[in-house]
Amino acid sequence: MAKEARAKAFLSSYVLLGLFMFLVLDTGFRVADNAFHFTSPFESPNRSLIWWTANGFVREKSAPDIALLGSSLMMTAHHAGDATKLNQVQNEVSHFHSACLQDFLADKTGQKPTTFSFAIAGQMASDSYLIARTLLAGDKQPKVIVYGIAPRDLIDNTLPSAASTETFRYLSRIDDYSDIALTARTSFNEMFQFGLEKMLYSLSHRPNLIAWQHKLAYTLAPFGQNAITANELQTPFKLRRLAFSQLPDDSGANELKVGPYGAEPEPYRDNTQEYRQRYKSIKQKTYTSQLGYLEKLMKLSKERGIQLIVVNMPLTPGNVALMPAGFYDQYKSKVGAMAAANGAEFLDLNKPNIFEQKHFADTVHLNGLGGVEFFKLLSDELALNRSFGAALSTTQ
Amino acid sequence: MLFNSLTYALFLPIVVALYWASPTKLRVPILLIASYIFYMSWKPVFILLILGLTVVNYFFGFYIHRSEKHKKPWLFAAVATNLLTLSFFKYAYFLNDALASALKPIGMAPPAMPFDIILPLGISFFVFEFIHYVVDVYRGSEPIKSFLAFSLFASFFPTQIAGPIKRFQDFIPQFLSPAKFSIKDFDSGVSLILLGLFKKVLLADNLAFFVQGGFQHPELFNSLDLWVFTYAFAFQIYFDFSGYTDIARGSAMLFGYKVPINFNLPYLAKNIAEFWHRWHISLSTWLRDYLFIPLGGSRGSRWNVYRNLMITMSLGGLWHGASMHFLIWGVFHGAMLALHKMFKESRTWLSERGHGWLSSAIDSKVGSVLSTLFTFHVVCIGWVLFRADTLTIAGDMLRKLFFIDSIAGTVPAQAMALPAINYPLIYPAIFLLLPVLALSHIIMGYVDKTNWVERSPRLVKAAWCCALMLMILVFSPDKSPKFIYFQF
Repeated sequence: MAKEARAKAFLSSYVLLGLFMFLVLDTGFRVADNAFHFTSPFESPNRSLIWWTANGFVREKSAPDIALLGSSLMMTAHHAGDATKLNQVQNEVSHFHSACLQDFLADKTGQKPTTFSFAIAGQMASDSYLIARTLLAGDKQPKVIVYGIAPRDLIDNTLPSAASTETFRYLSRIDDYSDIALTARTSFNEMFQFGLEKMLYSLSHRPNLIAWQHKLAYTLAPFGQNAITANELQTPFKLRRLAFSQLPDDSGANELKVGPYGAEPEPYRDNTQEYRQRYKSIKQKTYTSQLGYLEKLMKLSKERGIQLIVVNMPLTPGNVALMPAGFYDQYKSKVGAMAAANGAEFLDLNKPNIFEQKHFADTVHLNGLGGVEFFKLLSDELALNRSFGAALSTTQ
Repeated sequence: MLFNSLTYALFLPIVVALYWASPTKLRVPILLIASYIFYMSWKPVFILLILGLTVVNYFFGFYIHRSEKHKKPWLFAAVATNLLTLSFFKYAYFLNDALASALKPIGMAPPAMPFDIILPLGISFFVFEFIHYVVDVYRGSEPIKSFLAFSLFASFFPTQIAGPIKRFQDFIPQFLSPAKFSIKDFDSGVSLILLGLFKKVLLADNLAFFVQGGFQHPELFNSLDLWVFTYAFAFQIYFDFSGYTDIARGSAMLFGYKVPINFNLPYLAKNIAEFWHRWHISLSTWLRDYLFIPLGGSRGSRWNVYRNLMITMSLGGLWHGASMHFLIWGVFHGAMLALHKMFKESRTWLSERGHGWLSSAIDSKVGSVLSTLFTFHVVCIGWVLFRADTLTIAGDMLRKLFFIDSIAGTVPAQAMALPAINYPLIYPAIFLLLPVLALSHIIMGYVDKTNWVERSPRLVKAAWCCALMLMILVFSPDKSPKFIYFQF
């Protein structure tokens, strides 16, 4: 009798009824989306660099011969190098083809390959693996991947987990990463969130719903329409900097531009302190996990018949000196050995005799001058590399 | 452990389930253990502080009650212990800096702090609860006999970090005669938590970035822009703190406990005194009972009352934080309350002499609307002092708010800079959001007045909960700032 009364009381609860309505609605959304496909996994409320790149790549008509992967080290070399070579301002969110690499390789080999750059600031080895796994597949598969790597991409101390990057979050909506769900997440909260996303459609499709809400707000808000169609940089830099530290990665169409290395180059920026922090007390778990993703990338490339060239990126000697003693050499030998064991090539382009301080914008990033020099050196090395030559001459 | 975290979303149901599944005798100990775990989830070592103060105040209560000759010295010792603890953690740096400024002209400097002091979470709140306890025992209330109940009174996790500041006379009887599980309390509790989360994560957090942009870089904006930022902060702090209070009250309700309300549509107040009856009610009544009245309250000469108001509000300002801008904010409110009192007296004086036109005008419908708008703007000016990181920024903002720049002819050519900002969404959306928020205050006033929610059919209430769940899940920002009142 008491049990019956208790059950009756629970049935009279409006909160439980609300929860039931929510679950019905959530399931309804799922069923409707499966039937009518009204959401796109490529849609996002924030225009992150991976969003710009993935959408840019989708618009490409054919697969590139060479795909460039890497973090900001490769990204700045690509944009600043091309800006300097072409003497033209480059828009970082829509500049994907490497003029430097294409032209220098054409000079060396007589063949002008097509390229597409996936290099994104902050890219970890895990992100590079996911980009290759999800985007560089099927009829969009390149012949060669050139992956510019540096120790930061394996050990960044500021990274909570592999799953915490914008690239991971964005691509996990396009592809199913259930096989690495446990290893990519380190905290209980992340696992709990993942479980909830698997269960609830409205949570896993949150970016689509927010994107729709944004569109609605822009349509309804006075001045909103003006803002969304504006092609000029309008947000003051101080606000962008503030947003960068607090909001999801988001860049407007004309907000990230890089100019040619000119008569008055940008002054050298000493970011020693930032890297001291990044290299401080290396988390062995992160390092091992990221090396694991690097190996996955190598195996995936081999499996798909893509020639992977791992390029050790130039750094200033001062930056290398910030790492724990012996770490840099150990990193190089580990990556080199891994490449050899998995059919990849390892090119060490950190050559202090070639890359002097004048080639750097700070302790790690090349400036326009350095970017051009880097792609020249890379083209020289690639032209001599048999595996590269063989891969490029294959027809797909 | 933040109320708006996944950890709390797991912690709360587990404790609720354990609580109701246990025999009645075990319920208070379970809540106490849960409260200590909740507190230790931040910095475990500070459990010693809350435990230490609990033990000390428990015994002070008995000494004050039993002593016939030394009641006052015991009370003095109890209040001093609490205030010194609070001052050590909260005001040591402030006092050291003030001393440094005072000694600077004579070329001297105080010794540097020998160690870092971290402000323990919730200290301002539980210290005020202890002071209330010992003072009320001194005034004749019976001390709490059960040490368990007393410990839980101070550490009860829903109200531990940012109140509402409870009164033991209301709270302890709830321990002694525990409520039975009621689905009505469960429903009310969960809907309050959902409403609180909605206010915090959807409204306050989405406004937070916008507000920060304006208050950190006022130089980028002109007068009209800065008014928009100021209005936005007024709503941000209201939704942040009242959202927190709703979650606290809702969480307590899940255990069958009632804690006092803290807000009653404050921006509908028609004057500043009414505002303080509607804003952070548990603090304003505490200040009234344990500071304003002991200072003499409204008794004595007119100037004594003004003085009491100024002292009470200035200390209330300092309670919020050891910083000059909080002190100035308190002084500002003290001055506004004193001015309001003067104005009220003038009204009465005029009415008594047959000039009732002023009272009639103010009491008319138009007068009420204008009074509400005027009070809201006075409060907003106070918020500038409260939110600005430094007095210099506050000064810059206030100067711009009142068009001083335009008089000097330096206002930028465009009327507003905000619409030109392309990023992020909150900038263009703010022109939609602010009127909606202002309107929501009026609608909530009607809903409260007519008891609309209680009278609605079950299906409507369920749909409301469903909508809240969906909106909280989908539209919460990725990074949620801490509750503003956690820093106090």
